[in-house]
Amino acid sequence: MRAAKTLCLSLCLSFATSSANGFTVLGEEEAALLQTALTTSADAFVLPAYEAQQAAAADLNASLGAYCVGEGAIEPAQEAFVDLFVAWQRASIVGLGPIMDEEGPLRVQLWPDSKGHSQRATRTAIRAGDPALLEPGALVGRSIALTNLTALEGLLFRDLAAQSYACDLARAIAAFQADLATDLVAAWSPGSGYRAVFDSAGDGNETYPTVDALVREFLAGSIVYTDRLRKFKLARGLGDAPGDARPERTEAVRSGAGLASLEESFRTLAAFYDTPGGLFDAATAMGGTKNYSALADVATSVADSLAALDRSLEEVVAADGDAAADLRRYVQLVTFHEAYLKVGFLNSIGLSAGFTSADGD
Amino acid sequence: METRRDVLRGLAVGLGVLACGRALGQPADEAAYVGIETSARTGHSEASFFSASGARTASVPLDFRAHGMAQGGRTLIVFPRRPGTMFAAVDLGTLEIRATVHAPEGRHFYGHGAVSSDGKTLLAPENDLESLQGHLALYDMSASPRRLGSVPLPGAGPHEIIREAQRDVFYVALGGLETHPDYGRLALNRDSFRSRILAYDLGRDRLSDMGSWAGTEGISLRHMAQDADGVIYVGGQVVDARRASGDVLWRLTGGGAEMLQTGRLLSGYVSSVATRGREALVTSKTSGRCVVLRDGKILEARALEGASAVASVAGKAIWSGFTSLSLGTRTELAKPGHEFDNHGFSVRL
Repeated sequence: MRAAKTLCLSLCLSFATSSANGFTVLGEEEAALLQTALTTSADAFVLPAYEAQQAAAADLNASLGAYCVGEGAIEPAQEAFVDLFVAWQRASIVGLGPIMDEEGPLRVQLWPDSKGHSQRATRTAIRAGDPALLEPGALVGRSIALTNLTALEGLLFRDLAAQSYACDLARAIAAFQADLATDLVAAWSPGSGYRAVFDSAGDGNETYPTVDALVREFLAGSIVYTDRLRKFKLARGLGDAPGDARPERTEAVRSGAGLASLEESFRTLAAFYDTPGGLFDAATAMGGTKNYSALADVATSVADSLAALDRSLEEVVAADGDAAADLRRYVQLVTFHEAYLKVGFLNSIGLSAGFTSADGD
Repeated sequence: METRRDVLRGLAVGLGVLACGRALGQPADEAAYVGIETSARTGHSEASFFSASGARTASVPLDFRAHGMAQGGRTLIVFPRRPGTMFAAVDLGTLEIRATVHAPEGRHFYGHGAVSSDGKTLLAPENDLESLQGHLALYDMSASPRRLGSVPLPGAGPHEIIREAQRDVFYVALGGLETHPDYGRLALNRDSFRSRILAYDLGRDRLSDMGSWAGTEGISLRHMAQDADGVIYVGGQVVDARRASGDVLWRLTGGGAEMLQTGRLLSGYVSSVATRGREALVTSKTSGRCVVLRDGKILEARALEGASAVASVAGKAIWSGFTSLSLGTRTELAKPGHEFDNHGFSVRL
């Protein structure tokens, strides 16, 4: 944890010197540099993340399709679900563009779902048994409670019988998710309408009138991501202190993918920072801090530690022992990522942060 | 064995306690304005006190992210940002936190509140997490804060509440949006919500629905203030752009609601509303504009990055954006690693 200590001190120093930055506006040259870097981040980070999601969704459709018609086992479908679930944990750091349309990222994963909306929605649909709901495209516009991965997990990991309405509903949900991922890939592919907007921030661009605005939008998703990682994926099940743990409140209990989700979240943070030629790399050319490099190292180290655990997240939290204590320490660690993404990075390139307006009120 | 890390941690805690004690020891006698400054690292806020000339006088650290404020006698009440579940009552004489009050299980506050003219009753909008409908919580503030109960509201998402200057009639901006903390800030009824203003007569315990008016479709009404003539200015935020016209500021008089044509000045988002005499002071952090209006007409609009908090102090307007607070020609920067948050408050001592 030496890296974490160094990180803490360097972040404290950077905040102490960053407040006088005031309202510096990016110059033309800096704006052009950052725009190029953002385009690189889109090509080298965002698009591959969505492509992985798309590929995993396709695999799930194939394996689930085979199972539902009685030509395959359930296990490949369950494994494919976990792959899709984990792929989404990476892609979900993207908080701008088409994923924010309609009900936003909850279209893919509605969690926490403490009121059990997803389970209720699938039960209701199965009880009604409406064949029209299974037609291609029929889930478009339906409640996200019915069409998201939490609903699909509930079906796939609870005695799903082949050649049943429930199985066909699971296929329909998987198909909905595959279509969604395909749309996201299309939207972020070079030459698409959205990419034209993303790649050309500045005067005349109604969505991103300045490169500053685009940088903030790009970071906004990562800020929400770290917030969710801390509050929901870690703290929600662990509680504040030993004895407060509630394993049933951890993520993906049914599929057992909670730990993989956590691991991928930390790997995602590392990859987000370390995209070669991406936003963070470019910032160093403008005098920006290299704190992101230390943050990436620590995130990778945490991910490696999580990968070495030989129990499920639910079991780790239930035991509430040393491994759970480590997870509680990671909660604190994530706050450094949040602070850097909210303020430290922006200040280091001469922009005020505006983190208090991240989601309005 | 004590490690270097333990020593550093202990030192940090010690410094924090010392700093806190010094801040608490400063009286707020010269304070005229309270702003909220929020730390990026902790997500917690401080209530920062400023004199009428814009100089810092003291601060009170809080262990939550704060939003709006209200005053009852010598007590400043600082509310948490939605979906916070506790508010702090700060003694304006000593700047000590006299009490922290938690919402009942299954409720959260919406960041605002108002106090009756005698300073004894606090009204604070709440969300009932079971029904997702709004309530108005009532607290007796005459001694230690004591919950009296709550008044159910005819809809979801109540936000700012204000009181008429001369009587205990309160107005509540009912934003209309059903939200639950588990789903972040997602509006669960975005496609169908309507927003409106309610009036609540505390003495008669009578709630009146002032109705929805045309032009507010797709807009959540959030913030408001009443001017010296009793005119209420109401600011909203575009939530469903497919239904919203884009204008987000209204003027309510006895004759009804008038939508004010502000063009792109507010970018579909009003952060705060205050009044100064017969003028309305309006901010938009989205457009970065501070706007002054009189009789519904724009007198002045100037740029301030992240324009959010605004209040009238001794006849002067105090505005703050993300990183600076301005009063006349004086500018005060936010503390390192902090930003000024949505609201400010003109405190009366």
